[in-house]
Amino acid sequence: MTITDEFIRSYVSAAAYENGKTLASKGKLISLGQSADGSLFFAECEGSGANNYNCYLDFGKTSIPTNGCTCPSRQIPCKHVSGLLHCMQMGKTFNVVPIPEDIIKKKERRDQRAKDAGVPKKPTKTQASAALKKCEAQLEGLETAEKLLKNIAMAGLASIDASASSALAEQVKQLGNFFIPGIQNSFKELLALSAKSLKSQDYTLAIDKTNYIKALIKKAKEHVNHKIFDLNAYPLEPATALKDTTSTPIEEQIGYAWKLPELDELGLKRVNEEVVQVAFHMITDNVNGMWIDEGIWISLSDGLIFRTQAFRPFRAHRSQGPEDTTFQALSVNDMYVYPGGINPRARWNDYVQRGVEASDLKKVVAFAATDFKEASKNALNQARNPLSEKSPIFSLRVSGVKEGPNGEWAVTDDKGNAIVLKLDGFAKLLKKMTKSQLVGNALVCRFYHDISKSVLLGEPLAVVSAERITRFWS
Amino acid sequence: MALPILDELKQELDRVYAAGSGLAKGDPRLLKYLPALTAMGRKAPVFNTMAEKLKALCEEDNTADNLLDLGNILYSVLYTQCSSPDTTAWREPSFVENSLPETKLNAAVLERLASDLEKKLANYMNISVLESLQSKGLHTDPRLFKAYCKAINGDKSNMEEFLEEKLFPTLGPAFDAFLEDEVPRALGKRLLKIKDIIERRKQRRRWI
Repeated sequence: MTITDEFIRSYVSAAAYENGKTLASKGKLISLGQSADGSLFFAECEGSGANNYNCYLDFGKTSIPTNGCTCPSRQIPCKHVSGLLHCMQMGKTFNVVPIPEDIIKKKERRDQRAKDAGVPKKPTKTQASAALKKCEAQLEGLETAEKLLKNIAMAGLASIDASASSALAEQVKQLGNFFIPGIQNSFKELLALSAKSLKSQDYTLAIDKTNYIKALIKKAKEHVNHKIFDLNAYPLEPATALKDTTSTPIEEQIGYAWKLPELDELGLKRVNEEVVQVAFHMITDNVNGMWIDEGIWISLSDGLIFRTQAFRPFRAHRSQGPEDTTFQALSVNDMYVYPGGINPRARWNDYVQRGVEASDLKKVVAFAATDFKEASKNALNQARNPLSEKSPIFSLRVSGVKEGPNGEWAVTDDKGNAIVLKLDGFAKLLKKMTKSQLVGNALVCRFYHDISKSVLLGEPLAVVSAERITRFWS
Repeated sequence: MALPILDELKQELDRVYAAGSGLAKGDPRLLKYLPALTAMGRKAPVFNTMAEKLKALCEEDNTADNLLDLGNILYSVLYTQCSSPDTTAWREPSFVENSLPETKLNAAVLERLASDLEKKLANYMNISVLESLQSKGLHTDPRLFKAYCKAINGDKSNMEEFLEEKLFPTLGPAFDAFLEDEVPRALGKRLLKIKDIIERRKQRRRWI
């Protein structure tokens, strides 16, 4: 089995590459072994815990090897797998030995997951009964949440001073008993926004959040009632809740954390995807105590603009390093797309990196919308639904640029329809681009609504031409 | 462009959101919009619904529910009223001549470095970071250009010396526009220093 440096760089992240190389060169990977048929390679590695970690690479089944490690790192592949690859590349000796029990169990679980993937599972009677109890608890929680919201509306957002906020926070904490963490978080965000509004006397964001929670509770009740109807019909499966489950983000908004095999069962897996990242940034969420590393990506198969989000709790900052900009294109075996949204969230585990080619960028430019009126209409339709993403991201093919009397810029399509740009931060660099760097290329843009002025603006995230991606985020 | 009446109603409703829904009952400042909304409702049913909710808010006891229902509808309509400003009279701008260089720097380095430079947290660590970036050709990322300019103070610091002598000569002509942007904002020593750098860059290009 020949492993090249190029392969390792394409298989692991830059950080994992360096860390793995260090582990391998310092001899931290021990008990190097392989299976009798030469398809499985494994090793132990010292970790910070009492026991060594066991990592493996399986070249048996697919062209891209699968990997696993018993370490708690959320980075996949981790530095230990990277170290294993480096050991292989360095030509270290891997003895043919029995496969460790830890690795057998991990592989079996993984193989079973792959086998079960895409096969919808019929719940057992016990599972259906448990799910029904959960739904009933959720309904009770939604009633409580509704009363809480009503009390806030009656008292007024301006009444939420420090002591009222503290009392409300206690009530919000109780919502944690009802399997509705998404709604609980929304209330926490409302309390934080109200505190800010009290200082600034601008209640716009707090009112928006209030409206969102009202709409969410209403939709969640409808959805949970559909689920109760379906579960009560067991063993029949009327599936009245299925449409909302698969086409709207309501489950996630209530607070459900999807497992990838579940997304597969719902038909939300895309295979053999090639994707490029056009923007990346880190969001600090003080209300929920975490950082969110968000990437904006474009699919090279159909131009879908989607997001990846990695959540890093503040308390886990030592064990979980941040994600970073990805300049390479990725070939992804299995991409799981979360339900709902014009720019849905997606996740994947295994991928191979490669350089972005001119043909990739030409595809991205070709996918860009040429009718700005239609794009604006889509953005407005999104925003009218209080539960939808208010700032959808589109890619627009720029035919022309205009400047207003106060130095504002707008981009136009070939029919002259214009979208005025909101140039803040690095986006101001747009004005330092030449005409050929802008016109004829794709402007990846987040729409921004200012309802106090009734304006719709575009916030540039990146410009994609056949030669390069110019990023205004990172 | 939003209908003015909806903007006014939004302001009144925002007041109620802040002060509490109980104040809405019988409020003439809200009731005065009822006839207009009813008239608009003859053309678009959504305004009929708004009129009904407004009436309920001002007359019924269930003010919280009615406020939230009306608020949701009003805000939804306001979002659909948003549009891009009229650009008919706008003209094509004067574009710059020099291409903007590639953006090659990753987030982890970019944000911290740009922030440190702008806040003039210039120290040896940042100089060595810049040296490292320069060795990999990453220092030409234009997202750092404004930060480079902000770090020029006219105070002959180590960072300023490094930027002026080692880094700026390797930045192409696209960087000049960023220096020019600082001229109206700079004063005193800083202004003199920036003008000096601009002039020396022009001279260097004349010699080449």
